[in-house]
Amino acid sequence: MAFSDAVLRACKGKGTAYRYGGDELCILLPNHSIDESLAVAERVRREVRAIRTDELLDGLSTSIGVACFPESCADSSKLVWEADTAMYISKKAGGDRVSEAGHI
Amino acid sequence: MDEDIKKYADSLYEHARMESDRALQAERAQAVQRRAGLDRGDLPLSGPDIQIMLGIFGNHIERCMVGRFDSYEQAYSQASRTPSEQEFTEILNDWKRVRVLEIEHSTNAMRDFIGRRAMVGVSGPINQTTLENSSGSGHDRVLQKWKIWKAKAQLKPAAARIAEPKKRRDALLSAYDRAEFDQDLAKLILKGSGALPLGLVFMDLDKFKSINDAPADTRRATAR
Repeated sequence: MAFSDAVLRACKGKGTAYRYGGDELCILLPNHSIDESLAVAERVRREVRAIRTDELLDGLSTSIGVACFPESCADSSKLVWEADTAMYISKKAGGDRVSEAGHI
Repeated sequence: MDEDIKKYADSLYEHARMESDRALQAERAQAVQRRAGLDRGDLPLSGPDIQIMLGIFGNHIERCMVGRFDSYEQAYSQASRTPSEQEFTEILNDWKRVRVLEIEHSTNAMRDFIGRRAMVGVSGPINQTTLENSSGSGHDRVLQKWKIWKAKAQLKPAAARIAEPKKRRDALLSAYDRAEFDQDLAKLILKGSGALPLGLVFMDLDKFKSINDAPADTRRATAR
């Protein structure tokens, strides 16, 4: 569907996209610094924002969280938790934004 | 393109072209001699005379076209390499360039040969299209060979992909699933510096609920 297409498009050649569970998608970006990962995330946000469907004339938006090991998150076992938390921060702040783990 | 491969291919082609040129000169001399032997040396050039010469030059163009292509194929095979997508394009472009060059060259040589000799029963002037048409099926044949070579090169990675264990894809989202994610993440962390820094992006659609809650037929229309 349109959302995953936008995500796959945004991370093509950079990393791999997964469906994490429920409605959540995530992208693993090997050899990407926090800044580079944020850039990919921002691209996803813009791609999703550009989607238009018949049901949703206002389009879609997405809440995004970004973490990076070891740059922003020194403990690899907490990487998922950090990124997931950052995503919820984005959601709570009204969505359609990118949040960086540890900078919230 | 790899400089060594290019150099080797060029030397192979240089050789093929010289050989072809030698054959051309011989055939040409033979044709002139035959005319002289028939006591026709002084007669104006006729339609069949022109046809014979066109055939001789056409064969030369064809040999050059095939030679240029073969030289690349042989050089890559010698280096145990297959051209990349871009290199395939470079090969095709260089081959087209050589083709145009040889047609031009042969057209000029043909005009030289005719020179101020009188012609009878010859329709139309000798130009590049005439020579192009006389070079037989060489053009199509090489294009065919190029396409086959390229298809063969693309087959390799595809075959390698089949050998890999198939990744589990989420049918709805055409993205890999959770189990795959856990496995890949563990692998990347273990791999250490090779994959670091490792970025992780989590996303959730803000209005996802309302789409999935819509009736099934609406949902189908939403899917691409």
